[in-house]
Amino acid sequence: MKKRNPPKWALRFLQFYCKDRYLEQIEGDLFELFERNPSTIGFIWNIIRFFRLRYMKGLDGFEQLATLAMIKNYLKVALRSLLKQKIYAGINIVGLAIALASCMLITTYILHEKSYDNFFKEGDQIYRITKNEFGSYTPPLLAHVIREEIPQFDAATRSSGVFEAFFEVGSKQVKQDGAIRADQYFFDVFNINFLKGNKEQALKKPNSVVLSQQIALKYFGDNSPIDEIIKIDGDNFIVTGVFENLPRNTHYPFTYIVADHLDLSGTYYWTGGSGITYAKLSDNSSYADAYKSLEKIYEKYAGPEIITWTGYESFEKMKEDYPNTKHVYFPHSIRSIHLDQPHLSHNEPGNKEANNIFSIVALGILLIACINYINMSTARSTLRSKEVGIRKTLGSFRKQMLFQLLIESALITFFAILIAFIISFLSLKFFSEITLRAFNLQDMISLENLAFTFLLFLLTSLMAGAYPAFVISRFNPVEALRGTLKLKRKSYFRNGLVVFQIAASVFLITISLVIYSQVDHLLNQDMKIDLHKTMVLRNGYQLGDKYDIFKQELERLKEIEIISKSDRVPFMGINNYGYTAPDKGGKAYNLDNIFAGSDFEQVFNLELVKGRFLNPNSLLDTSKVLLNETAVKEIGWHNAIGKKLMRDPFVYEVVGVVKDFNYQSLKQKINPMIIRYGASVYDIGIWHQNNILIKYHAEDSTDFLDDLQKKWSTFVPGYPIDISFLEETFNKTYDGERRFGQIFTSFSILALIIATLGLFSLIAFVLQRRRKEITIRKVFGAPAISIITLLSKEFSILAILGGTIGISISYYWLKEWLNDYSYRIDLKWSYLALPLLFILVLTWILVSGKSYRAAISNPSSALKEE
Amino acid sequence: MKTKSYRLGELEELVLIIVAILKDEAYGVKVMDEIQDQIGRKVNISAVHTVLDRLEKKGFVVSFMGGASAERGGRRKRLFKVTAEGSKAIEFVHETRNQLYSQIPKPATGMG
Repeated sequence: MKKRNPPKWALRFLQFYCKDRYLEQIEGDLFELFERNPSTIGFIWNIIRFFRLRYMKGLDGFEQLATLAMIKNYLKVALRSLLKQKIYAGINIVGLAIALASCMLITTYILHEKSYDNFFKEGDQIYRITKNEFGSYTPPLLAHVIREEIPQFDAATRSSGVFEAFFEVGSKQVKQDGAIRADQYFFDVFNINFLKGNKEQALKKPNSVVLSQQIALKYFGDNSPIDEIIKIDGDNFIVTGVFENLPRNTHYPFTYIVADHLDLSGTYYWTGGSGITYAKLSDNSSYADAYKSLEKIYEKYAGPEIITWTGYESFEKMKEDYPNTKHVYFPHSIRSIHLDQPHLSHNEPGNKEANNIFSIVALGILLIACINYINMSTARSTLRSKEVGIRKTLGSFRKQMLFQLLIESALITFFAILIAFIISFLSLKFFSEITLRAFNLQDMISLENLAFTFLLFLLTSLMAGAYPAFVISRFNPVEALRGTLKLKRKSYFRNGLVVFQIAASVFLITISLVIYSQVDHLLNQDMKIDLHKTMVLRNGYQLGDKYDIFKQELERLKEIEIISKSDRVPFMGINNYGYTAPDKGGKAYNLDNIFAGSDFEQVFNLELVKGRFLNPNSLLDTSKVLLNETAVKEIGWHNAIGKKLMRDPFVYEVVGVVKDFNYQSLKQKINPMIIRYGASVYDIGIWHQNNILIKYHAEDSTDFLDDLQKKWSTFVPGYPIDISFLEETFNKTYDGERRFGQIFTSFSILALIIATLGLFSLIAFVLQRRRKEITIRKVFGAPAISIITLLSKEFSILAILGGTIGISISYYWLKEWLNDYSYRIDLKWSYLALPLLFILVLTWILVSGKSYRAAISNPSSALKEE
Repeated sequence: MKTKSYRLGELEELVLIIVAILKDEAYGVKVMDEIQDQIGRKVNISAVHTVLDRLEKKGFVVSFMGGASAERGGRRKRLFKVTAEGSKAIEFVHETRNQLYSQIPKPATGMG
């Protein structure tokens, strides 16, 4: 048996902090205990227990009474000064707590985002192979060829999914998501723990299925599912194994695997494909070598096909024409998929840019809260002057004063962190909803997270405490005691910080506002398609050749206008096929491809520009196609009617051109599109009726849903109906933007709250200092309104300055952001003026509310104090 | 002459006595095991070290480094020995306890 060693890093940590005198004996004892019971956790725990002041380097004499007593005293003084100014301390703590809670949530989020697929054993050696750099789907034979011809890879597997399938177990009939198909090499690449069954044999037989623990439990309870039979989409499968549930942080969230074997003798294309290929790099091979081999494979297999289809003389020539394309089956490390290649993820994709933005925003909020502390404690520093004077007179060094003041800020931060924990626990559910991740308490108190929280604690204590401590400890003791210490009336530093706070808040508000307007703008575009009156029945292929009767019978219902079918549906993703135009020298074009049934044009309100629609009753029309205007423009035909397009070995004739219509998220421009006739009668055409499209008259679809359901179950007994509404699907395409907007808005509200708190206490302080001035003005007859105006002026200037800076920065950022959208709002002045106005009004309310009290108070109470 | 009074914490007392029992063989893990075996009490190794260190500072025990062996990752042991002062302390504790014990009214002890 291999001898286990205690974790090196833990030992290194011990060596780092422990005094030499004690190190050897402690290490020895720990080793002895570890030899007795090789538990890594126990070892680490013991080292943590040894993390005591007495063993720490450089802390000799720490136990001496004086030092300890001083720290106790510092804490006591700090606590007293907090209690003396409860409101200010409260504002500081609440502000910091809100900011720290945001930081803690963001940390949890980012750590989670970075943890994707880390749990796979040898996950850093597993690669997802894509076609060129970005094509998700790879040729069917690729995994086989990698196994046979590339020695740098230990294993390769072909799979597909993730999809839903229809389960029948005993009398239970349920739709079950999380399915993938995979060949028998799957577990050679993904070393997943098996709880039952034999991993090596599990997918060998063609009709086997392997379940996750969760699925096994759902359908078989505590009984062993091994050798049980499940009917999946109508075919019988035998359960051959149960594997451990995958954690949720994976790009490939499957819950069961259906064996799927490839007939190697078939003929397959090398330029398309519907499978997903994974391969595992062997221990002693380099990525660069593997990449080179994959390039060779690409040239060898895909090369000839590309040459015949595009008409290039040679592969080299073709490469010259497309210098920016990677001519390779590209290996992406699976750990990079979630953030770097989110389009390859089968889970909720990550967003690297959003991660960065959110961490900056969270830090910004923290900064705003720290500024509150800095401003308030420097503003109120004269209150501490006597204390500083006495301490210095009695022999305190400046260093000691600094330390004391830093302990004070650390204490405040500590209280804030405690509250921040509560805030973040309470808001975890909301946070999970807007980020589409299922966070739980364990994520928040994971070791990594706590370490970050500790760092955050140190950082905040320093950020907030350093400057005030520097200023206060500098006081000249003589002046401080005599009471002649004067704070400068105007502090540029303090005002600068306030301007920054306001600028940051305005920046966030402006951006939230514009994101919302933009999403609204996208949702309210005139879509030509009647989104709210179109629904889609999935799994239309289940109807088989009964589709025509189904269509006829449903169209007899008075609520239903017309029915058609297609392979893909707008807003749910469209296939992209390559075609060549013989009269353009065989140049290749990538066209969005849709197979449409009869009346497709009526369901989607398509308009003809030229030519005619397809005639579903004419068999001849299987070789006729429609193009949209963009396609005609891209190919460069003046009159497209009668022109030919080729997709080897078939030739298609263009018979009509339709007006451009939106069938994707409006983020994108309209792509060139080809509409082909989807046959229903023969085998391959069955996929062309994947989706049944229903356009209805009724305002409310609930009126006829029952009828529809009944019709479906008479045509496809036992298979559940799956309806989706086009409007919902359309709205979902902007989920990303909407979530981004939500998170941004939440943050800007928080930032605003904190900044307002700071502004409030600063105004209160200034008023207090100028109380005598105000009273004297009053005595001499100044009306309340002129006093309020006088005081508002100073803060208004700060607000305008900060607001302008904030708006200018957000303007540049937003221009960039909006550039990604082909349908975008103009950055009207109102978007920019509104936040500025808002912050001004807020300032006025705060100032006048506070100064009104001062202005109407009895003058004698302020003047008679001395 | 009034006898010198010794102040020992509960665990300190225990460890000191065990060091005395082990005689030249006392070191961290061994002391921990002994407490576990004889008294049935689980103590973390770091607590034992802390107590030994404290006893040494009070002058009740002295320590020296043992020889190296292949076990313990090649680290030497620090062995502890009771000093004369330590022996006195044990004696003191023992005596005072006995003295107090003997003063308990008889019927209150045992099952009566």
